[in-house]
Amino acid sequence: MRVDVRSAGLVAAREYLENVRTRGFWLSILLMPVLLLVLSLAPMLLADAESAVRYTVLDQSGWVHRAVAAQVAAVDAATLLDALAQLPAVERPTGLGDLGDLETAEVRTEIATHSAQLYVRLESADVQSFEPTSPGARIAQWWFDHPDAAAEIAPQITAARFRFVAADGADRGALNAALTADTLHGYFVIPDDPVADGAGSIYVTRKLTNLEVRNWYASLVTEVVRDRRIREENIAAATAQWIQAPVIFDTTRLSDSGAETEAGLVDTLNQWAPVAFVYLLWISIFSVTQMLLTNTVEEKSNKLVEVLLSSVSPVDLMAGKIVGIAGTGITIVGAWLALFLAVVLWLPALLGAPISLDLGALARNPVYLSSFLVYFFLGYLFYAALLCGIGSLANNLKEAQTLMMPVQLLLIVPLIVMIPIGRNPNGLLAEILSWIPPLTPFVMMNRAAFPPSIATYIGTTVLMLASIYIALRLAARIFENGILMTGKPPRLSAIFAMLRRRPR
Amino acid sequence: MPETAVELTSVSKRFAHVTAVDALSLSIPRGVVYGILGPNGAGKTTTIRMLVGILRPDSGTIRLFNTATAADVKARLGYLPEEKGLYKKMRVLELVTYFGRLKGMTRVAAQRRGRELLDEFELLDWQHERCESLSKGMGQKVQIAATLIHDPELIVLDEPFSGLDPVNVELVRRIVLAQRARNHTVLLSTHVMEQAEQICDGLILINHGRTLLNGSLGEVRGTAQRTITLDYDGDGGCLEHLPGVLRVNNAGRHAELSLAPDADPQAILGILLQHVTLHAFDTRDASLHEIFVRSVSSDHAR
Repeated sequence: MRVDVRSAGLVAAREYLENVRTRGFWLSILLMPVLLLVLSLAPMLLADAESAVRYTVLDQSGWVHRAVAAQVAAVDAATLLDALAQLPAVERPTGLGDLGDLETAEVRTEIATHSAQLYVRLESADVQSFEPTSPGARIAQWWFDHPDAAAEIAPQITAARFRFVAADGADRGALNAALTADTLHGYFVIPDDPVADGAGSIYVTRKLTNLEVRNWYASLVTEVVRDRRIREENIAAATAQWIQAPVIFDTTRLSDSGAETEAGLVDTLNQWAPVAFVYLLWISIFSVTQMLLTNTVEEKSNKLVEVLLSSVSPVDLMAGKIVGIAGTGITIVGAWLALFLAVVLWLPALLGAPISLDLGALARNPVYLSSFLVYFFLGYLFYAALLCGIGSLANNLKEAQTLMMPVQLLLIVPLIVMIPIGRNPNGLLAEILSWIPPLTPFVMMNRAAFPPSIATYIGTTVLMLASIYIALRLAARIFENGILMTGKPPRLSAIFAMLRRRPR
Repeated sequence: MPETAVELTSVSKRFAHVTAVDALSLSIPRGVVYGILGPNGAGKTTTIRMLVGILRPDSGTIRLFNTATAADVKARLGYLPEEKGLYKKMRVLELVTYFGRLKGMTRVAAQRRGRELLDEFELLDWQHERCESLSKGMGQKVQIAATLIHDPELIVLDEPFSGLDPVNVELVRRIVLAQRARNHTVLLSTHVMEQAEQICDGLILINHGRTLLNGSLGEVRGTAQRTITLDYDGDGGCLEHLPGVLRVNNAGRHAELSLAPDADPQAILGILLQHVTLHAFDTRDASLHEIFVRSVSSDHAR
């Protein structure tokens, strides 16, 4: 298997230029991080856009929901008031009139009181004549009338997520019908005397996948019931607070040098960073080798390969392709890394994040970047060999995809074990998988936060290099025979026959 | 001894259960245009692929220019395959230059020669266009330019005329003859017998991977039986015992006589005039087309 450097170099240069010169190439490079950003932000954006969950309460105790409502109203009123105060006067909802100074304590108290009253009115469906006169009362009334508009101005208020609807004296049968009709997400039944014992507290819903409203409401009910119990037992408020104060553990990180430092967000991120790198590595290797496959199949299907083979040997052609696409891959990965570094170095500053969130530490960690580059090369060469062989057997992309199946199954493994290995980077799973060459680059990258022994590094790398050598040799034999084949892809037995054949 | 351009000795190639080429021998001298003819699936493309070194024969030897295999003389070899493709995104001159460089030319030389060829093929205005913007005929001319850019001494063209309009057929013919004039050797495969007849100095006819006929155009024609056709009145019995006539196809008033190579049509005419009234008498060589059809069908009958 001798490679003619000049021929292979010409092939490589052509492959590289063909890819890199197109505008689409650079667009797709830019698109990738944008896509990742959108994908990671989408759940948050979608959550904001989601409509509020509608619930109601059958309160047999007669006071629990009222107490919860008052608490919610007080917090939400303050939030709404803050949001209104920040709005320029012209953008405030019409109908509120001149609100004057919203920052005074009187207005705050007033709106909280009125809002609580409105909550209660809502619940009892007892709408007495209410003449809003003061600014606080007007806001409360407007809020009562326009819950959606209020949620828009102050997205943090509870009503934006959980919307209380009056039960209007409906019994459980009627509420169950509402659940079935999907006009209601769920409802709570509060027993006669929750203070004595919580038995009989029920939350009814059809949607078990979203129990957020239950958790939120249950914690509020627990709070008001606990307050009542404390009062009934005549425990002083300070004592109660002291009893309930939680014990918080400060996470302290023992650094490599043996120093104990308070673990910040950056430390956590730093230790999870390899997972991000594994993902980047996976995408890079996958997309670049895919490029090689597409390219090989295309060249074969448009018959260019015949002319090429009258000028260069199959091995030169394959070597040239692998090198040329490697160059393309380095360009892509380099651009992504540059973008990634730009983001971690400058984005926190741009967003005004605290200095302590120094993501640059991620970028400066030499183990991460060098591991990434080395394992990109090793992984690329290994999978490039596989895909060149596969590409040479397929007449079109569809056939290639079928032949790709085993490789794709193999490539799923690093993604599945990514998180488990991140949690336990030196466990048995990580150790075993490190020694399986197709997985070595991903698993070793995964372990970079707590690097394994030098022996493991050397051993797995030697094994990996040997596997690459064997894979390239075998691929060259398949390529040589497969690249001129037409008709349906050969059976497994025919492929083995190719592997046995001696190269020229 | 004049240098032979191509020498195949007992070359065989099998694919799975099919023998594509079966003990084929062929010798082509320098400076001729040689045709490789045969029906579909006869083994033409496989023979050509072995000759240009992209397939290896299972047995037999292939020598180009007396001494070497295709790998050693790739720079003296130009190959245009039957199914032609281009790198769609590459520009025309760039593509032609690329193939020249693969054959060992320097960039400068390849570009200069590439421009000359494109000019000759009236494609110079397209040199900076992407290949995907070319019409089919233009694409084929670009491929021919890519085949000839390194000025090969042996040019192998697999079905060079397929898909070309008459103007471009003429262009290709001119190129082939110009190559011969420079003592270069051209080997071409074709289905179109008239074209082979017009430009080939020698030819080989193969079927099922085996040689049916091989030699110069004259030799091949010589192997075929000349024919006499006649319209007559009278007793057709005399047709059965004519000297040098191998086969008679008598329809009563019209007959076709297949002649042995040494038959004398004049003598036959003399005998016929004594026995029947002749209305028409015509002797002619079998056309390559007839030879082709006859050889292949008799090969199938065997």
